[in-house]
Amino acid sequence: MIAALPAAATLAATTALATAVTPAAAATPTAVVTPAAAVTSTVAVTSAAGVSPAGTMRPAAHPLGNFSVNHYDGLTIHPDRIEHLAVVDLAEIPTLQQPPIGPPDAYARRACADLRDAVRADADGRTLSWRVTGASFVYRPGAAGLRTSRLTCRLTAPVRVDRPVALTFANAYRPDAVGWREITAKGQGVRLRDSTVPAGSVSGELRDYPADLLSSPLDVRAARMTAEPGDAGGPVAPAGVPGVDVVTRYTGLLADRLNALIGADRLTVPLGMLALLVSLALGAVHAAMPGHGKTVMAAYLAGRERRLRDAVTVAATVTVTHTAGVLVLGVLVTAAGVIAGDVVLSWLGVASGLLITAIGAALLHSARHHRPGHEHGHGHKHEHGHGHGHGHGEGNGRRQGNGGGHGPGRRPGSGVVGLAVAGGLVPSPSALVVLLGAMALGRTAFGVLTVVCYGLGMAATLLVTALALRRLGGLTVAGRMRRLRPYSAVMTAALVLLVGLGVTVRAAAALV
Amino acid sequence: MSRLRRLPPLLGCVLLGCVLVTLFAPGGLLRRDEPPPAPAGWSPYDLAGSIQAVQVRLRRHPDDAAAWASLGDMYLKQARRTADTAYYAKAEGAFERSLRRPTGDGEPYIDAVIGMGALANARHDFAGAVRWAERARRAAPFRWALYGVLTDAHLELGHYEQAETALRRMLDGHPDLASFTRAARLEQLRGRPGHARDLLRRACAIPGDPAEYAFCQWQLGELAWSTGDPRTARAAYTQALAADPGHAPARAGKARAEAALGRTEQALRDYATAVIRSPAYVVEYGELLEHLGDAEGARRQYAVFTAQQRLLAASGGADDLAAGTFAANHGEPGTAVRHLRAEWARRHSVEVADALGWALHRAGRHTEAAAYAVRADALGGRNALFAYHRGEIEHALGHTGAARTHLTRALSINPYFSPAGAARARELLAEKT
Repeated sequence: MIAALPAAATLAATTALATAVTPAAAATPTAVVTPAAAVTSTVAVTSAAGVSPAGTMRPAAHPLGNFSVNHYDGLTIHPDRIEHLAVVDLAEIPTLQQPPIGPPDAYARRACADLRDAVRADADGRTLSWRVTGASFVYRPGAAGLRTSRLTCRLTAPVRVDRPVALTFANAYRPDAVGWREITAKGQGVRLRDSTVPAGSVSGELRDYPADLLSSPLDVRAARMTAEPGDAGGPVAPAGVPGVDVVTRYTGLLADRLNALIGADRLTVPLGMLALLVSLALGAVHAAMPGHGKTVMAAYLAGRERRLRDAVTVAATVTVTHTAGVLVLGVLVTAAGVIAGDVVLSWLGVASGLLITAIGAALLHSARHHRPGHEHGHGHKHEHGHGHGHGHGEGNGRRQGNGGGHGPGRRPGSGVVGLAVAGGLVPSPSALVVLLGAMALGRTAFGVLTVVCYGLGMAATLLVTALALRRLGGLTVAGRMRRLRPYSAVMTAALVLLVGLGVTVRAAAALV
Repeated sequence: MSRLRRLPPLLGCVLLGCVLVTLFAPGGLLRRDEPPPAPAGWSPYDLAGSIQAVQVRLRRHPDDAAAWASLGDMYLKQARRTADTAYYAKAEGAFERSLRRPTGDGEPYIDAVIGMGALANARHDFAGAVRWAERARRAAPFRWALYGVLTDAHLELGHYEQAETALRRMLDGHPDLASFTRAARLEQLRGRPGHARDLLRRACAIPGDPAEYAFCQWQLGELAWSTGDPRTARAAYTQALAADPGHAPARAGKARAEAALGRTEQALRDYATAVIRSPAYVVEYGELLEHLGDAEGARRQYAVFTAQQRLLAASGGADDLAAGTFAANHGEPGTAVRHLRAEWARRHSVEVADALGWALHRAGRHTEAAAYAVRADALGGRNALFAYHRGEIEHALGHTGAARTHLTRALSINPYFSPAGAARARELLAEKT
């Protein structure tokens, strides 16, 4: 009794460790684990320190533990009946716990009758009645001179498959014991559709359990399928694994690398610098990823003003909003572990989309009101902007289209800043994961620094985009684009509106 | 005319739009892939689901040391939840795969090192666990999980000072369920059940998954039981079972409490369920059956225990403490002393001291037994069974006064500590008045 305690207590520690990182895992699918792949080294550490004596030798016991009770139910559906092959493989301890009383044949018949009573199967809602057609019970040698045993029952139930029939099956025989539980179903003379279980047994009907480290014991206790008249068609091949595009794959690798760096056991100065550099690069790539059309657009709007200061304003706003967003979300997730990170992200996405939509609508509104008669206001307005010289972000896409001097009641630049806020509002999941990881390791300050770097990386991309657009606009496109100028405000506004709607719908879709 | 001049740029815009849609729209070429749809009913607490997710990842990235380590951890957790020791081998395999793949700085992934320690504890190789945990501590002194491994191992080895140091480190850095439950255990060992109860209540208030809550309530139940309060214990065990109906230790605890409260039928039913989930409780079950006069039923349970010990021995993990305790109580004191001396050579915990003292007493070596009985009580823990054993030993030595003191103490700590033992203690006390 007392001896059982430490094992449980030890495992509680690992349980708690795993829970600590659950919010991060919820935030992105890539964050379930922090890989440090692609590193090859020659250091072999298999048994450098205390391998337990118990761990070195392990003669063959029952592969699923010596007190497991393992079940296999193989269903074969014929046009006029269902045949059920039930196998129960009892390991050493259960064999001993409930020894068969009387001759094996009589015991097998009794046990199969019990099993029949525990099986529930319906055809179109009608309960099937099973009949035992065969029963056998044999012992087999097990570990340490003990025995395992194997009960085999053959059952049959009438059913008529002359039209599609919905079948359900569940086996509740000896439900408490641990063990393998497998159900298969195949049709003979009938076709099976939408089956929840495979046609073939992966354990060879409990004779050869997969010993692979990457497979858990099966625990299938119920099955559902539709049987149709016709010849048995093979089960439909499962859909392929969704592909990942190249950019995502490499950023994923980079993010994994960053996580590995942050989680490194000893944080040295060069390692820390490397982590900051990687986060800078990640931020830069993140800002250029699809889904950040909004930020690029903000940069473009600023760039059209040909003012470095506006571009810097946008970049700074994105950085600040993003960093603040990640920090706030990180604190929220840590303080109240119940908030699922991905839900918060989706809601922020909706908020950001709505903000962009509102800005787009406002732009469209003013553009439609002021379009006529301001086709040549560009040069004038440019100087006008200079003359103002107060506050941030006088540069303003709306004004460009409108011509200067309109809308004196509005705060200049609010549209651009708003777009920048919207762009930074949704924290990047990878930045959040990095922060949470660092917090879990007691390296909060370093995590915050990383997130700031991440934001700076995003800002850098935006700045570069804005500057590039500015140069491009100055060189070639300007002359041709001049013709478009009367429509450019409307087009920009409509595009912003569309992007806003798209972002909202996408984020909302993730919520439902 | 002007309309014609505007046409090419407009067309250009439309074309650009089309290209963008092709690239980024749902189903487009550069669309970021959606996470694969989660299986129905998946929740963050679905351990099997999490295991599956990591397995899928490892099939694609078999070199991922961190994923192997976390898979090992989950297998260990699964071993605890299902009481299925087959997962130990899987956990070991996963940790070893992780250890073979050093991370960036050439050192193994630290969670795998800690995991090997936790696994060693689970397999009762406490010295090994200390070695793994110390190795982890040298590499990464801020990984709190390693202090959990260290605390457990030292507690089992009887190094109570070191256990407390490690635990303090853990509590300072990471006050959570894992550290609170361990602190409660230490408080209990030192005879402060009130502190232990407070700590456990705090631990239970921390939101966690149902299995963690069940573990915590089970501990509260054990504490209430050890202080002679089967009613509170039964309530706690029932809470644990409500959270996790398959929790075998709580099922066995409930059976014990039911028996103490005179509800024998329910007790037998609960024991029968518990031993199907985990054979660790067959001896208790058998002793209750024997006490109730069902010698045949008891013999069957004892046979299961013997078989279990043989299987453990065959797989290299013999449990000398359990085997020795059983032998001492079932007429083989010589074997018991042999087992327990072997265990005592490995670790000097109060549990082993008590068991060895008792076995020596049964073998007739009362003077030697008394020394171990004193050691068992040295920490100041209030354990009814230890007090009863000490009383019996004093009685055998003819120290009537001391025997009375200890027997009375046993019954005052927990009058239900063992169906047969409590009856015998009352008998001895009545005899001497």
